[in-house]
Amino acid sequence: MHDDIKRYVNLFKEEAGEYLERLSTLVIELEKDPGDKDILTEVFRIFHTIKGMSATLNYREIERISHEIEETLEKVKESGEVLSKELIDRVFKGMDAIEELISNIGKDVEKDRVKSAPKSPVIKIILEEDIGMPAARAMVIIKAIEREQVIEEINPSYEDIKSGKIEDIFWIRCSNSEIIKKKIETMEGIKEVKIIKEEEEGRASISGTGGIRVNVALLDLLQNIVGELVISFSQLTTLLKEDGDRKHKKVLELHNRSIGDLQEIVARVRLVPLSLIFNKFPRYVRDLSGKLGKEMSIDIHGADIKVDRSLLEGISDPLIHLIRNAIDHGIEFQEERKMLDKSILGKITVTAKRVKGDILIEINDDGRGIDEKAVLHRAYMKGLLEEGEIDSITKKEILRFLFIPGFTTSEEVSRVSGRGIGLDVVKEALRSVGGSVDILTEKNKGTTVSMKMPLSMAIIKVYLVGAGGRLFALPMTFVDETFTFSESSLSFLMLREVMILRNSVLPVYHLSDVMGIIHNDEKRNTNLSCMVIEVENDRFVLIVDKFYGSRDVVVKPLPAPLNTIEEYTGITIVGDGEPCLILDLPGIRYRRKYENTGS
Amino acid sequence: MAVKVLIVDDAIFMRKMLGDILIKGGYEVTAEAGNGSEAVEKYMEYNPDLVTMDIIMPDMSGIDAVKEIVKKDPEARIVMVSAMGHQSLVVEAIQAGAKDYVVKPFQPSRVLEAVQRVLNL
Repeated sequence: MHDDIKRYVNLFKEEAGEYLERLSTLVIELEKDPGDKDILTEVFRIFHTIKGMSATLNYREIERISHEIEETLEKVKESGEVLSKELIDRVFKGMDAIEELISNIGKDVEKDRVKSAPKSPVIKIILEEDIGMPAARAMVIIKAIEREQVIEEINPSYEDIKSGKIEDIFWIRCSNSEIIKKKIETMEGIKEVKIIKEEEEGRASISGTGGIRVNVALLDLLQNIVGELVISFSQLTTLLKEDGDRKHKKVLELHNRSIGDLQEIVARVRLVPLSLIFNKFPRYVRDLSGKLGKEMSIDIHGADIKVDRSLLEGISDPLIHLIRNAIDHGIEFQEERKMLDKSILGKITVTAKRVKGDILIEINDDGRGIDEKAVLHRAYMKGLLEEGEIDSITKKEILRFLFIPGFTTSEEVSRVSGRGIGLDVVKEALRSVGGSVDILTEKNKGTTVSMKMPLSMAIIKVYLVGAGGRLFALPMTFVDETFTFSESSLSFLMLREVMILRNSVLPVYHLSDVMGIIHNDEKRNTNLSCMVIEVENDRFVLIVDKFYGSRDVVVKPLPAPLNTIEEYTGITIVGDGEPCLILDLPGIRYRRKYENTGS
Repeated sequence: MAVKVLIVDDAIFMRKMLGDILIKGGYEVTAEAGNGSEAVEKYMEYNPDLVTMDIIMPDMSGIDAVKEIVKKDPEARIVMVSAMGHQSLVVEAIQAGAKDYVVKPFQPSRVLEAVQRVLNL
């Protein structure tokens, strides 16, 4: 019986949540066209449904609020009046209140459940591994128990077992569990029978075949352990290879595959959809644009893409920040848009997509764009460039100033430039998740901010290289290609070393120079190990001493005070147990560029 | 008195093999049947203590035969004998009332164990 109620509660929460999301869209539409009777009727109907559902489960407060809104809406409907802004605000407030009440329900139920009458225990049954037909064996056991005891619950479900969806483990809930356990133990094909106590069960409920609830901290721990495993395995591989024993090879391969699988599963378990943040945007746009007296809509694409939950946490503030910038500084007031012959309604578009192993999120607005002249002027005033450079500086280089900490403040530039608040904060956030941020803008057409980041933060693919006798790891996200080239293919253009590669001229940097390592010229190779690095749509060639190939590594944050060194994003342990620094390529490229420009 | 067994299988070879195992194990093979409907008839005629039942047979399948027999005798003790890979059929037979199963190819000891288990129920 208790399970039934719990199932209803979950169903209620799920369904009410869906209704609230639908309401959020509908009420925003209604606000745009308060005279739309169809939308009004649907909003009314949904509140009526929520009222009925909550009354059934005795959630008095939700019932009261939805009843109140329902009454208000009914009056509006009958009088034929248009829904006022105040009323719409009230509807929104009511939705917020209901949402909070619903989110609190689960917690109460969990408590109630612990306090409630004890349920029958769960018996965990593990079948022998080499059992031929696990479903048939499970069915024999279930039927045998059923001859003596009513089974309250089975997981996987009876239907799943019937259709063969069972491995070598299943759970049943019934009373007289000790006697039943003894009976099962005497049966064929049984490896282990265990009665699970209720407190243990709390951590892994058997109800719902879809999944179980897991503590997030445990997940983090699990990922850390897998990370350690990857590292120690890689050390083991190196050690055994050094010994040159071929016998180990097969075992190592098997082991490697298992660790790979484990890693993938752990990564998959941690995935959450971007919609967790994206779904908040419409309401956010609505509230903030209303406050500012602007009109705009938002389009969202790719909300179903899943990312690691810590990545989502890492980018949620920057995302909100960028949306706010677009609303506040990007989109113009109606009068201004009219004068420019633009559609009165401003438009913000958020697009997420997967590009190779990365996630790309773009936030675009069709607003006024960034005034590059104002940015340039400010850069000059701040002494970031000299007068002689003003004519030769590119648009991209100008925009780059926006990412310098403290470059802009809302008072001084945002009103003119249209954007610029806190882009350094966004950049820093992206850096900490191993990603990069780029900006494109056109006057009176709008601005697009692109954020690129790896799917997972904890384990990333890197390319290992040697430079100046030291080992460095470069995130694969930025490595376009690697090749060897003869030294004679380097040329000079305006005193800078460049390489011509398939008709494009790419600037060349030596990693040992970049890292400030003095290299010995005698040792210098005539064949150069080159890598094409692409950062924020900009490509350059990085020359290293030696390639060691790519591998998956576990990123560890740098301990203080090393974490303030901007050249590195983190540290990892490679095969032989040596620590290896992971380079922050966007940061390095950025600094090299301006050091060179300055000299 | 020895336990009476009815062996149902469309292959004579299989019936012979099963019969030998059971006789060696001290059972009495009281009758044999080569298809489902024959199995139902023989069950009614001989009223055996136990049936070993093949699944895929001409005329009437082992599953339908189980259903028919259980309808007539809810206490019937039937052990399915099935080839590997017929899990869903075995599950269906168990749902229909068969008490256990043995996978072909089988070890004699496996057959005897399954038979003993079912008799002990």
